[in-house]
Amino acid sequence: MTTMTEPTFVPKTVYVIYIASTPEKVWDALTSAEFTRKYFFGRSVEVEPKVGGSFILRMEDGRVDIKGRVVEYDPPRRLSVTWGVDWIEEFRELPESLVTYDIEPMGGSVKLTMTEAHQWDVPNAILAGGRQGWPLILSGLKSVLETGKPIVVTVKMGPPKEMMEALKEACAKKPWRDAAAAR
Amino acid sequence: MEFLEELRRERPSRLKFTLEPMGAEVKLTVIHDDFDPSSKVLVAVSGGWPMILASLKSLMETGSALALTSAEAAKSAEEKAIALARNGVA
Repeated sequence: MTTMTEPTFVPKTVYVIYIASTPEKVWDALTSAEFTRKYFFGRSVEVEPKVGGSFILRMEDGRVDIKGRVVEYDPPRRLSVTWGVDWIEEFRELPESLVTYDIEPMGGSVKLTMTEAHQWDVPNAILAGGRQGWPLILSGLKSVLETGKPIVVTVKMGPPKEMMEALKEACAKKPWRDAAAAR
Repeated sequence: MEFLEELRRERPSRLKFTLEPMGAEVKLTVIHDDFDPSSKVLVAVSGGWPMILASLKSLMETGSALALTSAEAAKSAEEKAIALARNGVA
């Protein structure tokens, strides 16, 4: 292949939350490891502050969970990054998704919108993982900013089993290749 | 207002709150469904739930609700919601 069209990302999951804070603080909470460790399942974020820079979410033991690059960097309004699963080797070939955070001041609060977009026809079983995780992550971010304390969900919550199975199946069949060929 | 009358004429939708203890936290799930297929109420309420639930969380955790969901804010939000429903999805 000599030319490569930019993939088209279609939003599949949108989550909106309102936080009693300022856009600057919400931006910090999204882009500084000190904050993300408190609400993002212990992950430390590493963002290179420029378009094309690298974006990493690192696990507590140092392994890379999510790896991507910065697509938009506009503090304190918009951060958009590609989102590739690096943690589990078998899933590294999955097409990256695109995660965008939009931050807007609104009536004394901040409206934070998280949009997860995909470049292939992702089955619902895979989307379910994000739909379970994002509300917990963003609720935690809100608590950290408003109370200084993270929420502690002591019930063990791993990725849904159906999601792991759907991911395995997708990696075996690679349905995104047909979509790329059709473009 | 005649538009509000139009919203009132829609059949009632269904609202379900589920509360689940998760350790020291509570997971609250709101499912609002069973709307008329061409429901304008759905469009009008869609933006409201995230605000209300975020404000409820603030109230429980900090003792103060978000100003966004105060009675004064509700009036302007209502006007916006109606405009949105009237003109379709923005």
